[in-house]
Amino acid sequence: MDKKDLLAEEIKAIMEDETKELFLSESIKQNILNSKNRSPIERLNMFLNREVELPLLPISLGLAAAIILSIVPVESLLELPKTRTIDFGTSQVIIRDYKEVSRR
Amino acid sequence: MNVKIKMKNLILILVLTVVVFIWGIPFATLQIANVLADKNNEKAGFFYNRYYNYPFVKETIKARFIYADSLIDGFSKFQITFSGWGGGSNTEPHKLEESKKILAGIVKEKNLSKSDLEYMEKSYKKLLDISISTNDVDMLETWLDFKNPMETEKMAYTRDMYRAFLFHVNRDEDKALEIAESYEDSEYRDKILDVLLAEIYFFKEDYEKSKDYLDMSNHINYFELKDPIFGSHGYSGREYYLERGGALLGNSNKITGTVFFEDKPMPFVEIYVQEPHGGFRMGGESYLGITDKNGYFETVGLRKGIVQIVLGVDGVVLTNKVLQKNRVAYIELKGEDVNTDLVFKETLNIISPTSSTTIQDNIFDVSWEEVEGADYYSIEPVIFMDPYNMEGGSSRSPIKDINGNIKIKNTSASFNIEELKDNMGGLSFSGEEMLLAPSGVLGVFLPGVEYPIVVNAYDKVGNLITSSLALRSYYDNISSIIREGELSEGENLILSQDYPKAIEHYENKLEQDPKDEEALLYLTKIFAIGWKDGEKDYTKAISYAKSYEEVVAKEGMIFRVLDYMDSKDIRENRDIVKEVLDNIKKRDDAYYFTLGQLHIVNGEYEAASDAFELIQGYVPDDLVFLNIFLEDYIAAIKNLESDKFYSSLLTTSKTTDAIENLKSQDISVNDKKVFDEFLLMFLKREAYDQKNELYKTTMSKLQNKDIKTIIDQIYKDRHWIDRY
Repeated sequence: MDKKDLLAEEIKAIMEDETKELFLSESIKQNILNSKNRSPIERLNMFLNREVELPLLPISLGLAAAIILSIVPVESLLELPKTRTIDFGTSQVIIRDYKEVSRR
Repeated sequence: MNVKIKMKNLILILVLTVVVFIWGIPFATLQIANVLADKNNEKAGFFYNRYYNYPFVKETIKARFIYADSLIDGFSKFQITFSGWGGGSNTEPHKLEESKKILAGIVKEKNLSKSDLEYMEKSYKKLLDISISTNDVDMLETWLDFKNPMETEKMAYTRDMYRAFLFHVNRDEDKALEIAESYEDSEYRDKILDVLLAEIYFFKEDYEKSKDYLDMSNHINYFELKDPIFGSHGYSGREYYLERGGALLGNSNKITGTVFFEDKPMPFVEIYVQEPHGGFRMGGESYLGITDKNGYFETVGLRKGIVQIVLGVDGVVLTNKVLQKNRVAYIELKGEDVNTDLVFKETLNIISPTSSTTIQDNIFDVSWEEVEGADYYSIEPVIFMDPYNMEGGSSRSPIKDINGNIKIKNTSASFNIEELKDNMGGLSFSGEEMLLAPSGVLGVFLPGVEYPIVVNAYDKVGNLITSSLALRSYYDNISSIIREGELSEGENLILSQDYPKAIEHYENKLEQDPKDEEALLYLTKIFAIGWKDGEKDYTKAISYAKSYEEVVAKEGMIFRVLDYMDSKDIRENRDIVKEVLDNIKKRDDAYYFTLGQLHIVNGEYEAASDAFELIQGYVPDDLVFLNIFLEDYIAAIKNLESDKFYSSLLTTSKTTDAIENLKSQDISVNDKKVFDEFLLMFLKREAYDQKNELYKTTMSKLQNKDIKTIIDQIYKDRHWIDRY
């Protein structure tokens, strides 16, 4: 067997025994983490897992309104020209509530 | 309420939102537009417009094509006869122009992706369809000569099909066939080729072969055929028509002629031919001729008989056109070709009033541009049965100017509304109680009501040359007047059809003032017309009319009461009628017509004939029936051939030949008796109520074929033929 391996185990045991009652405060932990050089992936993961607080109702309503207003031509529907067709004898007459720009 | 969300989830939501805005919203907008369009909902246009203008799709070829296509309502033709019209798509002219512009832009694009090429092909076909449907042969030839360097083989195929169709329309069937047959084994072969071949063989009168190609085109019918072929849906009924045996098809008669708009030929006008069965039957018809680039048409061979022509024209080109009337309402096919030329005229332009002109006093003027060849003009306000809502049907009839003229010789005329109030409006009864429509009593030019004004131009024999009212018109382009003021209490009661209260109101007014002009006028009308079934009272009507004439110091009201009497009314009130007629000084056509009717109910047939003979403006059919009854067959034929007799089945040679034959025949006593009884029932207006039974019994008792022919023609002319 390799003697070096036994030494390492011994040192580890001593270290564990001596630090058994030792605790780090949260702020120290944070300081250590902040001073650590992170890889880009770690940073990205950190960013992606960050939690943000959003106002659900206004955002939902705003989004829904934006979608509806993008689909439905509300202004045109409100001004919907009412057209109907009537007969004047042998002619068909189309009544619309808007006028052509110029008469013939 | 706030919610905590991890940044990765937030980003996912944002990506989805972008996808929704870039792809989902235009997709949803287009789907909604399609659904609405399928339901013929006019809101579809707004959604197509929104789709077309959406930032992420605005410049795409697909969006441009879809929007351009949406601007065209369809390619169904208006089908026009001398007596009416039917059907037709409703594309507005300015939308068609916008569509043409967008489609032309697509077809001329130089940088197109593979997926865009499909829309270039569709745009090109649409332009060719529009050229044909709008009768624009120059536009068709221009696009047939156009070639985009990026064009596909499919586009070249479409061009060849439409070029072949143009050869076919111009009756160069060999060239058309040569092109068509070169594609018979092509991978591009589709319904267009089959329809083209079917059409070529149809007009070669090889109906079996035509039907074979229609069968190959997978049973085209209107509902399956979304896209038009050769600018029309006119081919959709062809197969059905041939399956039914091709009514009217024969081999000895062709109808030839031309269709012009003023002096310009109208190509691609579909010529339908129909038996005169009363009115025009829509659907299931098949056009039997089409005009070429010179406006000339030639139908396929037809069997002998009497027919009427129906023109198929796209509605979008009819907004400035009036079909000039002529004497040839019916065409007799007797073993040889018959020529008939048809002319659309430009609408007459009214200078004054313009649309929605308000008038403050009782006089208003109408002026218009002169029409070449016009002998006189008539001015007709349009009266709606429900005038304030412009509903319930409408009527129009000429009004007299301040000089008392109905036929106006100048290009302007003035009218006095107060004098026109005496006229009775169009009559209509509706509802369970069959109440009289208010316009019948209130007449024309009520305050606050918009009355469209129509001016017609006629030639010397009374044929319509043109009119201010096109076959299709936009109301905002029509001249109209609105009189300022308010309705009286009594007029409001009439308007609400509360006639018993209106009568009570006016009778109370007369108790206070026996010379109340308004009360006398409206009570005369209410009792003359009868505000509901069984409520006519001619004794009261004449009495009020007499008082009214005294108050306004003007004649005419009493005679107007007689105008509303039918034969039964005249018979039941013959003493009143005689007294009124004896006291009338102005003896015009209306007087002689009523006098003739009085003589008929009195059994004085020769005197009735003499009275009808004195009518100057027209020849009444009662006179012809009396001529036949009195065995004056020469006079009957002369009257039927008169320009003043309305063009009808009675004026065709089938009728006149039958009358001519009676001259040289010894009609049996029984036949003469049965025929006389029939004619008297007609003259006394007793035939209509029992027309079916009368037809059956009369025909079963008769032996004489010519008398049977005459009766048959009378029934067809009255449009009673489908009812027995």
